[in-house]
Amino acid sequence: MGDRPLHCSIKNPILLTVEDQKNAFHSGCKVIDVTFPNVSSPEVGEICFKNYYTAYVSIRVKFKAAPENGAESGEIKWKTCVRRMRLMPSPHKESGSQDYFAISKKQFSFDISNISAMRIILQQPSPVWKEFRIEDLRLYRSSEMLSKPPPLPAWLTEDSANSTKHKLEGIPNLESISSSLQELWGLSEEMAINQSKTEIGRYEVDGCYEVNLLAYT
Amino acid sequence: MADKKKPNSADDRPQETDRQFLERYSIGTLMKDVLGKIVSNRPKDPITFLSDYFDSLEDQSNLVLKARNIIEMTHHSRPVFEMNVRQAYDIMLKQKVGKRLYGVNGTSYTDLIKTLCRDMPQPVTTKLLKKIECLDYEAITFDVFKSGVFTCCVLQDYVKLCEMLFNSLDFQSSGKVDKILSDVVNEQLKAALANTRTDARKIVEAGYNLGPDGLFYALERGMRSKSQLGGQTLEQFTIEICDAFLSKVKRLR
Repeated sequence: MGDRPLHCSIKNPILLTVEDQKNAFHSGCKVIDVTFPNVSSPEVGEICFKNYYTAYVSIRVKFKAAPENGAESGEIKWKTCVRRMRLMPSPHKESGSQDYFAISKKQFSFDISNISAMRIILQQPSPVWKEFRIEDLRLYRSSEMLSKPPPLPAWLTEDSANSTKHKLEGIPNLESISSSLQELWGLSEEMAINQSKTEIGRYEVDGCYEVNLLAYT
Repeated sequence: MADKKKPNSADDRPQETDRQFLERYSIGTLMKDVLGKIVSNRPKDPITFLSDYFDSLEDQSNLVLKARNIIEMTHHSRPVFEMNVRQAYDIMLKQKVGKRLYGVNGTSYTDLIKTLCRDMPQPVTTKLLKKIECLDYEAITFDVFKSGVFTCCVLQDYVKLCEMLFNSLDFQSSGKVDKILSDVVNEQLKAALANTRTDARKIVEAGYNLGPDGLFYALERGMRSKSQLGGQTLEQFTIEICDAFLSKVKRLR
């Protein structure tokens, strides 16, 4: 799942405010814009991030203009894919405030594919927290290769109970053969580790040592 | 006065002559040396060690033999081994190489290797020398010397183990081992040694293949083939198994 990251450009969160000189207040709502400049047909399977005191998150998606509209692009609406997903059970309290989240395909209202832009809307209604955001946001493609993992090697799955029953006809002492072989292996490795690494200082050219053939380079 | 002196001198003289006698032949130093060697090498059989040591004292002329005896005083796994190798190197440094030139050159190094490997089959020694030999006139540094000597000592152990393995495989005590079995065993060993040291997964796999389970499957496969390839003597078996060891020896050239 995590091995197919989607390349996108994530902008800084923008705090939504109501521009009013008299009634300036902290709206508690931020938007993160995500675009896909280099990807031709972006499709999102999973969204992973680390929370930092965000209470709710919503994801809205803008689809590419449908070609059957002809020359006119028509109205491109933002569609809500994930509606107000609760990250913190209680916005005033600590729980869930610094958790890791992964929003998978199952939680999307529809399949996110062929989109032009995505907006992640963060909401934190509680006035208790000075700052809220999400960190380490990563988008992944959907993975069709949810096939079985490669089979485990024999030495991991071999049942030790079966091994004691191994008795070959004609070979009475498998254990001693095995231990001798392992000792031989150990000796060879020990020797290999202690090989000298120094240069012996040979000045041979093509296998012969001839003073006249020595070169400066 | 004279009377008094006489018994005194008669008593003194034997004591002094004893000490003088011992000092004349530097027996004191000799005994100190032997005791020091026994303590640092801690042989399993001190009496044999002592007798071998005194035997070897007669080989004072041949520096190579002297060096070999020192190297073989203790097992290569003990820390004292390195000190012994250093001592052996120092002894061999006194070898005259040329006019007013003393040191360890290729000839004495090769001689030492050959004498250390005297109990092994000749083909094994030849192959080993091909890998670690040095030209006659080359100067041998301590590092190269130590590495070569260590390889020989480990090979000595290896060959002894080969014999044990041969005896385990030779169930009917016929003096010959089925070539099929020998091939299977050799193959498993080579596969284990072919892996690089740093790949942890390969190491565990190699360990499994050499353990009773992996070996069981390999031997079963081999025995099922039912081909008759004849038997192998101990020497042939040793030569083949040593190939795996020699493949790990780093070539000096």
